[in-house]
Amino acid sequence: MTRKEEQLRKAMLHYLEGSIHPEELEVLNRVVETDPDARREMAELMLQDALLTKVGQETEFFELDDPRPMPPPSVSCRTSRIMKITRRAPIVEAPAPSKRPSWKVAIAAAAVLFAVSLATAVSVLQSGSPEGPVTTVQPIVPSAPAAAAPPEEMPAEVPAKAVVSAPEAPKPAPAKPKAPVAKPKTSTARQEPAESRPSTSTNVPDGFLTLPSSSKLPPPSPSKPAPKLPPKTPPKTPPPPPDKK
Amino acid sequence: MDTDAPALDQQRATVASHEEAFREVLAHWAMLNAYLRGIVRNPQLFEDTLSDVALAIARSWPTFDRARPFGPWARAIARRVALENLSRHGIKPILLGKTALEALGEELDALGDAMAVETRVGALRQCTEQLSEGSRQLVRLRYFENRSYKEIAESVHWTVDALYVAFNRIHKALSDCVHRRLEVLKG
Repeated sequence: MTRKEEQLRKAMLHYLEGSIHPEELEVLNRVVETDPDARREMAELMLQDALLTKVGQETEFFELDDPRPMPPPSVSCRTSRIMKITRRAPIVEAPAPSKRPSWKVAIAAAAVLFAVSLATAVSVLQSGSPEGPVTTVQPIVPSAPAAAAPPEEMPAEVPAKAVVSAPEAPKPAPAKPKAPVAKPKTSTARQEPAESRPSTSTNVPDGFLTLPSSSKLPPPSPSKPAPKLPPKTPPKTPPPPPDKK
Repeated sequence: MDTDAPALDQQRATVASHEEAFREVLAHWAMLNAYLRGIVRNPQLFEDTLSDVALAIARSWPTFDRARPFGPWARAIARRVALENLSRHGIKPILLGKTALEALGEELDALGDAMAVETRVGALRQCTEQLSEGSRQLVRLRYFENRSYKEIAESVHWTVDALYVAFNRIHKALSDCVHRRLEVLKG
């Protein structure tokens, strides 16, 4: 497009906008009357102007661009969004050293509270149903299995738990036995995250999200020792009687 | 009852006449719309004027000589109504000469009938979607929100001159794209 053509088209736009100068209008008037190409171009521009307005009024095109108000997200969506925000926040504010500790403490406290509530829930459930989750809470017992085992509350379960937790005891013993302990839990558990803080700010939120499984599941390994269960399970107890005989 | 019969017939004839007139207006809607845009720039007044023109054509329909083309006759009415509306609102018209305007009107007529215009609208819609995000934003402000160039320039922090250059390119790109699509459709 030459400069002259560009100026002519600009004059056309000025005309359609209504902001054309008298001299410019005079030139445009002359060109439109005498130049068929320019006239056609102007007519096309006028038509395009009208059709674009029509397209705009139909709003189909614009709806694609403008995100329409979405239906209110479900509670879970909102929660996950909050989690994401919680995750991002520490990263953004990481450079500010003064804010770090408070953030981490807050997150660690939240994590501990979550862990405690989860443990409580699990223990409550445990009393009613003898299932996997029960064993996960048992690592508490390892310190004194012999003394704790005797309780005859659930003869069938207790041995199993004791067996499962026993092999695990050596590994998590130093740090984790304390956490599960009913009341002291909160205090000791709070200390744990505090120790892990130095690692990274992102770890904390992750820990927050996965805490229930990582900290309370020291027994995930019990899956290996599980094979040992069969030998010590009730089936073995019956044999003794024959010996006595 | 009998005395009402002629009145009823006359009423029916008027309704039929109006229907015919409106059908013609619809068939030439794009041409009349584009033509009027060259006279009335205020968006609200433009919409009012378009309605007034349709009514004026319907009222004048009995005087229309069917042996002659509809376009020039309708444009004459449109021009008169538009100038009246501008005058009523105290707006000084900024117009091309009568000859130039009529020449543009004929050119608009030649761009096609209602069917061709619909095809063009479809092509234009697709072409608009192919514009860059920035260009689409400008198109939206100008043609969807009816903003003036000055308002758009303020909102996007450009000079009005730069905006004219941008719209010049947008129109050119859209025009080329529409032509290509129409050529493809023609086969």
